[in-house]
Amino acid sequence: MIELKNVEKYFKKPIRGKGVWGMFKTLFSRKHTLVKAVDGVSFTVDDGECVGYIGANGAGKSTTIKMMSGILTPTAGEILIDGKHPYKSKERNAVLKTIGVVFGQKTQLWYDLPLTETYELLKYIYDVPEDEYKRRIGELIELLDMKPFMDAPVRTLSLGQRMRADLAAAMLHNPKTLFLDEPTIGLDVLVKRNLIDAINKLKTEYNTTLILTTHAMSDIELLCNRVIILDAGKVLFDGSLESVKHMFGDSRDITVRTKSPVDCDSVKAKFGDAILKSDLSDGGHNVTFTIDAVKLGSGELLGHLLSQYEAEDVKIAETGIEQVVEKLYKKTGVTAEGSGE
Amino acid sequence: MLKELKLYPKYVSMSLRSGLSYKADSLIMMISFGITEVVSLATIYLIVGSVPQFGIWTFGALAFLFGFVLVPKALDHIFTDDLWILAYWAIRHGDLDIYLTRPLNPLYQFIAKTFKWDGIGELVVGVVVMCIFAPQTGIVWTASGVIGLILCGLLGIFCFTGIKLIFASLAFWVKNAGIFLNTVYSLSGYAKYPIRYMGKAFASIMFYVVPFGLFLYYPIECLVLGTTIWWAVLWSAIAAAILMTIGFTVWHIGIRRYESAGNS
Amino acid sequence: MSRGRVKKYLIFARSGAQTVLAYRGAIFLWFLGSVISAVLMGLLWWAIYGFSPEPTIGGFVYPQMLMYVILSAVVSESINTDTMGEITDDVKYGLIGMRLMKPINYRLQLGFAAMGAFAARFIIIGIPTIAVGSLVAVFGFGLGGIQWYNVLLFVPACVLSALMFDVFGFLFGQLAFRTQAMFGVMSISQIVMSFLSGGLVPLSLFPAWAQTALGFTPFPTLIATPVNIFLGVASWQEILISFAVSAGWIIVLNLLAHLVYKSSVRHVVVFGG
Repeated sequence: MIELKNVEKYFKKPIRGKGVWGMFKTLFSRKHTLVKAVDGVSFTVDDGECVGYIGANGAGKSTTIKMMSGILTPTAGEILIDGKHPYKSKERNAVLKTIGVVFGQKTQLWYDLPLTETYELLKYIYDVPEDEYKRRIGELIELLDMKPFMDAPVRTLSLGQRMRADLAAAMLHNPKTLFLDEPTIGLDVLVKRNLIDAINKLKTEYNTTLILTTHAMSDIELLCNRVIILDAGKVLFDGSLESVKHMFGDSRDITVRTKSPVDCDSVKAKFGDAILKSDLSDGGHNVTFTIDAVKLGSGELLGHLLSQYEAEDVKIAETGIEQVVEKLYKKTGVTAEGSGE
Repeated sequence: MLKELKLYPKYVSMSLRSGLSYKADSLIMMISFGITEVVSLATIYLIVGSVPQFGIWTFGALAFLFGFVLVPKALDHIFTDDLWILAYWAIRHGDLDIYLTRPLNPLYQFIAKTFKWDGIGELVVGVVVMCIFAPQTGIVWTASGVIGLILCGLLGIFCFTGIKLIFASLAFWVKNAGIFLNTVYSLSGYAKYPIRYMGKAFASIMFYVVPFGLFLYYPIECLVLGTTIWWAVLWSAIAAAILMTIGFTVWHIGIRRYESAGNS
Repeated sequence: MSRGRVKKYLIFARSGAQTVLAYRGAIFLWFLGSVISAVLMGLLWWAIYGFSPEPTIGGFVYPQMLMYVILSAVVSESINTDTMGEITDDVKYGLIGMRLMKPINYRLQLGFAAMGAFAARFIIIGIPTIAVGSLVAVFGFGLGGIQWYNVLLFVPACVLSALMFDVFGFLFGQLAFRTQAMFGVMSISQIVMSFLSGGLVPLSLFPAWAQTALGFTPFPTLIATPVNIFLGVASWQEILISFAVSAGWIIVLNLLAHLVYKSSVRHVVVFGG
């Protein structure tokens, strides 16, 4: 079980003077601005839960994950993972053995050596017994389909392969909890889908608690049953995936570029209140419909449009976290001005 | 501690094998370190050669001192070279993240991952120069002197590491820790000269502030003067203990304010 | 070159100078390091003179030696422009192909940028240091024998020396086409050039045969020549001859570098840099 009690993390950013003299002054000066990256966050995650941790850039989600995984020390408050603090030097080794971490932007793999080398090292670091290690690595290679690139140096792997390899590295010691910080960043759609499938397989196979941050709503939909939305270092929302959808709606933006102008009103008349908004530009040649995905499938609307008009280009965008947060502002009456950096 | 020791050979072998793809680079680096030191010795020769006798020092004795300075320096270089990376950018770029999530001392992991064998160039030059000039130093060699000298050399490694750790850890506070480390570290080069004659102020700095003079120069001075080297051993041990303690303390205080990268 | 073309390349000189100004904090700190080392060398020489039976060593009395140490630090820091680093980066990151396609002479671009950087370094760190150093040497240690024309001619001597450093950088920098280990190449070339040009010890302390041999190389013009001009060690005729020799070397080395460059570029074309 993971407990966060009133956790705060402030970063002191020294006010840096200009030039050389300024640099020396920075060394001794106590002047700084205080950035409240995480500002009083509390929640509890039970074993086996899968939590999506979302928020706009700079909302403090990475900072929270880094505090839970022992990288950063909270300024105030307490983080307990099964009753122990991951950031206290006496307790960290015990905690860290029970967690695994994957960063989308960083790798823990040894750059110039084949994967097995890193895994061997991790085996020693986490004290995984030899027979247990053999069994587990076999399972992971199978699950994550890593056989084709086990012997290649890490620097030659594609990003998707590298992410799977990093996942395996984080799962090697059978952690109770897996932290994923933007695991799908930079991946193309197909590779992303594969990775999500792999994470899902791991989760069901080993009953791992999962905490992930992401920018893509689809990641959360496919992986999580609980969502925590963070903004300016504070929890804005904490609840089930369904309740998020219920509260904020699940919308899609469908943009079509057509040869002849689109008659918006007739489309609206046909689908009624399933169409939340429509935007026309370019004299009706370029139109964007925002639809409620619960009431209307994108395929249905597209099918209708394509049967009526000759389309040159089609684009579907799903609700991003930014839109959800935007809606949240409107609901809670918070102004966007106050949010951190 | 036991786990760290047991794992070290594994790290060394990984580091060596991942360096294999850059063999030529390492070789050139090794040659470059070697040439730098040979040029530096030639400089000492030209400077000292301009006077018949430099106080208690003959060129042979100075060359021996020169060789001795290189040994702990090279060994520290081989084992803890990544402290430079810590000073210059690792902390600012958030490179410590992955080491902090593993149940093993993060400082150990960061340092152990690179075994810089190109430092062997300096080591070889140092040892060869010591061997060549040992007979010309005028030192009366005794077993106690040799053992004392070896101990000083070993303790010197820790002194170097301690000083590097202190200034590299400053990177938790300042942006330009690399330049500070570089300035302090380059003072070690002056331990090759007879610092006693270079003014009281400078000698005091080299003995008591950044004690390169204490653990590099002083042992050889004892040998040349024919006094016991064991005082030098004691001082080197004290310096090593103090420097390592300060180094670890600065690191420990610093790591608590580690900010990773891209936070807000 | 037509006036328009000169103008085009002057832009590179200006951006070279601006780069120096942008990084003046870091450059100042590095320079501080070399001032510290000059002070320490001054202390070392002070000790040496204390043990010397003669008042002069290598033809210099102590105040001159002190000034020599300061001046050689200033000259080596001022001419330390980044031609070699530029080529190395261009080759390493595959930008060289793009540079070659532009209607701009790559060599001239680098050269002008280096001279701009030299001017900025010389003005913001060189001149103040020389001023302070001279005051200390003249009033603190009784340095004499420096004429106004020594100080004046020191400037063109430094310009020639910067041109020389730049062509060395261009020549050795092309090793980047053949090896990845440019850090090693740079440190070797730096230490060897510094030693052979009198940056570590005055050349007059070298054995006679070495002095004669070095006289046939371009190295002394890098540091020893400008410093000796400043100190008034060289006579009018010697100064003029040394200028001619420097200029000759700069031309010869540039021709050589051009030939090497042509073959390096062929290397790029063949291997698709």
